[in-house]
Amino acid sequence: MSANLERCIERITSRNPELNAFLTFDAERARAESSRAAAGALAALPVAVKDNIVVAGMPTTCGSKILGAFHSPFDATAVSRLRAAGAFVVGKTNLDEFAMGSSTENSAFGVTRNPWDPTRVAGGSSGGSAAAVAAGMAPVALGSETGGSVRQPAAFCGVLGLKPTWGRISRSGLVAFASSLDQIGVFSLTAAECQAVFSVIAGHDSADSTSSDRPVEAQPVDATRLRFAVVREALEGLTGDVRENFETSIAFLRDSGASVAEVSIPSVKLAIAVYYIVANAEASANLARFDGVRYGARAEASTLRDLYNASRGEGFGAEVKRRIMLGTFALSSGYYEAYYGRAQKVRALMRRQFGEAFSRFDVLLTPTTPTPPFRVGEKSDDPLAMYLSDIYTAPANLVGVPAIAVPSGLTPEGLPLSLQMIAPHFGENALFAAAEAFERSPGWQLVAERRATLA
Amino acid sequence: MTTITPDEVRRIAALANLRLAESEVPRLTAELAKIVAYVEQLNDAEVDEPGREGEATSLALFEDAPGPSLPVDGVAANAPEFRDGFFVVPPVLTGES
Repeated sequence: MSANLERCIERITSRNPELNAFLTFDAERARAESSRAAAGALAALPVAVKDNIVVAGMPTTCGSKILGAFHSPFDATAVSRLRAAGAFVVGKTNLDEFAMGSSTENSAFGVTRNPWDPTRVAGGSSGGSAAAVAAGMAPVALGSETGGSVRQPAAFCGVLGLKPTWGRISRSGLVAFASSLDQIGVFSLTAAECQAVFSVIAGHDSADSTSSDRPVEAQPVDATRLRFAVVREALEGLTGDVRENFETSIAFLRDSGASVAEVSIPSVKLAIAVYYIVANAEASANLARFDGVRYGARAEASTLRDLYNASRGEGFGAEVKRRIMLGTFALSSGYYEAYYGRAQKVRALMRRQFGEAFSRFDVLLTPTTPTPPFRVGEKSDDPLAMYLSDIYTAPANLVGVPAIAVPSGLTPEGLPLSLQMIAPHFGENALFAAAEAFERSPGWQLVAERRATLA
Repeated sequence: MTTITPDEVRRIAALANLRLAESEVPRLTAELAKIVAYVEQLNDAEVDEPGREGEATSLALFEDAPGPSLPVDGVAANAPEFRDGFFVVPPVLTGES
């Protein structure tokens, strides 16, 4: 296992200057952590942790200037559970500021570049974690999901990314963005490793009153008996490499003996509109705590209100301010019912339609992203174009169901493509089984072979 | 159809305790207007759901008994200004109270 760590250290040292996946990494510290690591289910496993998940004694920046040199005095529950199982934190990874973004271009510490093509983004907001796993810097990583922030960068970086059921993994120690949507997620190269990490960190936590007390039970599922269905609306207007690869993936599943039908969930077309009201409204409340008083950067001010206004004005980046303002607007008097109230009703409609789909099918299928990884700077001038990157991923966050992104092929230019599988609430076992079955597909194998050769 | 005006942007910024430079206002006005126009498609959706989505189905309670909390020195180490167990801040108001 120590040979494993030395290989990770070599990869981080040689590639991080270009890729900027890690914000905090120290080789000596990693070796010390590794030698302290206990025996257990994940003995001596190096884990990269997204920098909005607190690790005691390490910096947590959330990709922002506003937290200054903040060092958490406690571990996130997911981190303490990993440590108790013998794993250790190898470093903290880059992200869009406060997890707001789909490209990691909104980080105050520079973009994370895609290991497959450094002129392109690694995706976001968990771009650093995705790039780290793709580039061989760590075998697994933690990220966070609010609208797709694990699945989308997993797709862009040719790795596996899981968003669990809302409430399945404790949010204690995950810096809050949108509390009804947030979940910690897992990046890995195989379904088995994802499941191994998931089963250690998932489960009820008294420190998170929204965590489910339903037991975490790994149960084998026969993937050949799963009833799959393609979400019809995901195909509307879809063309090019993403469409072709999606159809190839479906053909593989059918050829393996699986039944793949089609189902309509019309409300998914409204998911981005619902998401950008609900998530931003909740964010405007959750980010109120960054006020220059108890931690982080403090601006010069002669009154308390000036302290808040100046610290926040100076400390937050443009995207964060934009979203706080959208959220404040949606919750403000005179607009609350028309925007937030309306969005919650459409969200309830989405939940009902997903429930109807899951009464007939076990796993729903869509591409993970509408495009292959785009170039750095390509979408950063148009916030709305960037938001539409989440079009396939946001529905699962809004409805609370688990979903997994799996590598499914490459474009002719050699860029990763990805298939998304969605299961009902607490249906992670079906996702692990379906993902493992999909590992045999030519598309997955091609990505795995090529990824091993990434310089 | 809600129109987002520069004055509206200044009002929202004040509510959100965000100091904006005047030079930021035109860009933000245009960006917010475009996004708000996009989300207005929700008005076309036919919904009669009660809309109590996201409500907790049960309230988790715990014993009201003292237990460990964050170590004060860990908290103080991150504070911009901390004295005698208090966070030090400027006065709420200037001049006479």
